[in-house]
Amino acid sequence: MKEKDLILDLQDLYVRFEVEDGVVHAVNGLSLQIERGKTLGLVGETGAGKTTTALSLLRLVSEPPGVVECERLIVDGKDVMALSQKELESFRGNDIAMIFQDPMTALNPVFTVGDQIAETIAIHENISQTEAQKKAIDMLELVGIQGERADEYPHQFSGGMKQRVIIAIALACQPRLLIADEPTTALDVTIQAQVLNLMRELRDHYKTSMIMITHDLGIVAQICDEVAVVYAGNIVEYGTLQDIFNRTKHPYTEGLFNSLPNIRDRKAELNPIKGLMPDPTNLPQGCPFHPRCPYADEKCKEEQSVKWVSDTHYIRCIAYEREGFHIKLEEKR
Amino acid sequence: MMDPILEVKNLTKHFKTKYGLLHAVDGIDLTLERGKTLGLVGESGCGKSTTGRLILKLIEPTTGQIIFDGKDITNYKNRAMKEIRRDMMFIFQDPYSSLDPRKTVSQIISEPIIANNILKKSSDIEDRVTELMTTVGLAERLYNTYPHELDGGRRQRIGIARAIAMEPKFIICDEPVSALDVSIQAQILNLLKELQRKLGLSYIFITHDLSVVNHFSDDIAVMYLGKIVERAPAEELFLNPLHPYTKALLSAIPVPELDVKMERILIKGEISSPINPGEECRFAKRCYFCQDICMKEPKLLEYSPQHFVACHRAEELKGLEGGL
Repeated sequence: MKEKDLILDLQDLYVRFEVEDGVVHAVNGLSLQIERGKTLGLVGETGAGKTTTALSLLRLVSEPPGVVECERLIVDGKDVMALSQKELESFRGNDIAMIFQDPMTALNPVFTVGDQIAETIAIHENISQTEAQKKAIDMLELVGIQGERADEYPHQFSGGMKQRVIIAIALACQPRLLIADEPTTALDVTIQAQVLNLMRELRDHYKTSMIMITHDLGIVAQICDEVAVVYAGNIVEYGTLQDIFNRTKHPYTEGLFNSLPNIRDRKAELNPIKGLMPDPTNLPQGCPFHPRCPYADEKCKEEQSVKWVSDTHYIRCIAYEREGFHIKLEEKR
Repeated sequence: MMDPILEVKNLTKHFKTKYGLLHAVDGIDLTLERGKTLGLVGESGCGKSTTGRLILKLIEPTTGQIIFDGKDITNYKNRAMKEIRRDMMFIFQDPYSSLDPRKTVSQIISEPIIANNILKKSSDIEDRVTELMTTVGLAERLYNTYPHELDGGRRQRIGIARAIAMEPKFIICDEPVSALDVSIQAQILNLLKELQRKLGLSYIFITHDLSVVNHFSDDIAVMYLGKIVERAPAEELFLNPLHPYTKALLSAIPVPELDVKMERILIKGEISSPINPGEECRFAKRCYFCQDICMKEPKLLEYSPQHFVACHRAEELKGLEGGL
């Protein structure tokens, strides 16, 4: 097999938070590889561990109460777990950057947007303040905001424009890997479409690799190459866009699709997944999805294992060991 | 047979600000048939929540008329309004801030029953609360828990139980599922539908999520900057959108399918200020099809039976891409 050119190689990530009420198991043995130039979608519901995974890549999980352990975490050839505090500071921003969900709180209200973009550039590149300012204006224009507005404060911008500013900050030093954590969740649909378009253009322009964290499968379909569906701190299904959308295998992924209203068929019933996400301080034995899974049997309460369906597609589900097992969605196809 | 539970005529709300008059809601007409759902769609700041508040008279309209269940309630004052409010309820967007954190689940649900003196004996109240909890799918063991102990989906169920406690005829649901995860969102939508069937409820469903509104509503009204720009039965609106804004909204929906080739109409810019809007069509600044004629505001006219649109160029743009 050909050696892949990996931007990210993460092996067996465990993150837990040791708090008074117990131990919160946020990420449980998650492994992830991303090829250079690709965009991976990290999909799942609140509390699945998507954001914690992303923060671990930047080493931004606060320890304590967090405990981060992993076999291997290599970003663009750098062993991130071995970096010193000083090295981490230059690593963040230069090699990897993150766009946060809420544009309303991610900007500092007492500095102009120009200053905030320039700050990033000045820290990472050895250039004068005036040059950094000039570059900041270029960045603003790149994300579709007039350069003159660099002297304005965040409150003078709308939500969509703030998110553009944040994208400008994240891309200012042209990171190799960009993590976008629900970048459009707080925005209106027409603005969301604008921002997604912008992100796609900039990604292609800079050839940035990207992790797109989202709960919206519609966004995944538009922007990602590969998809990892996360449940209770681990990937339950992983594959190319085609694998996940057209050859869905995992019962949880099926449940996610069934929960979405079908825009072409108003009469179609919604079939939500029953029950709730498990409590991360007290995860069920075996497959963590078994209490909500319509196909679960006794064995699912005890074990869980990975099954490769094709070269690009795997699931974490042992139901497929049963003779002739398939999910209902497959009957429809 | 037309049997409207709610009719709104020329409803207007202007707020005075130091920069001028803010046109939050600007002369809208709505009709809601008994037992049906009207979806009110638009982006933040278009006036959809204000409309909801006006209909329940939580704020006073500047002008206009609200006819609820055959009665003109526009000028109803406190006592008469209290009476009528039993029949009209509100489900709020944020299940985290719309419940009193110091009250238990049972106290929250029983509040309207006690406030309106419906039941007096505490055992009766208890029975009724338990019954309501079962109706909305809350386990009985949660009777004495506090909202902070529960997740968003359960909290929204409390909000729904509280809203149906008085057996209302009409509920305004203001983004009831926006704060919830998809799997929970579907649970709540199914619950609201089931309650509608069982209790004969009529809904106004306020949302920015077009795939949800399509699934949930019989009729849809699209709002932009305080005006209704298009109104039609849900199916018709999605198949034959006429207004450029509706077309843009529909094409901006991220559809969770591959190989959907949809003509994307990206609209430029952002919603303009609702303060002292000019004479022109409210959407003109962002519209790709804007012409001289659009400097005059278009009226909402019936284009085909039941399909209303406020656009001078609706006829010309008819064949244009944008539907599904």
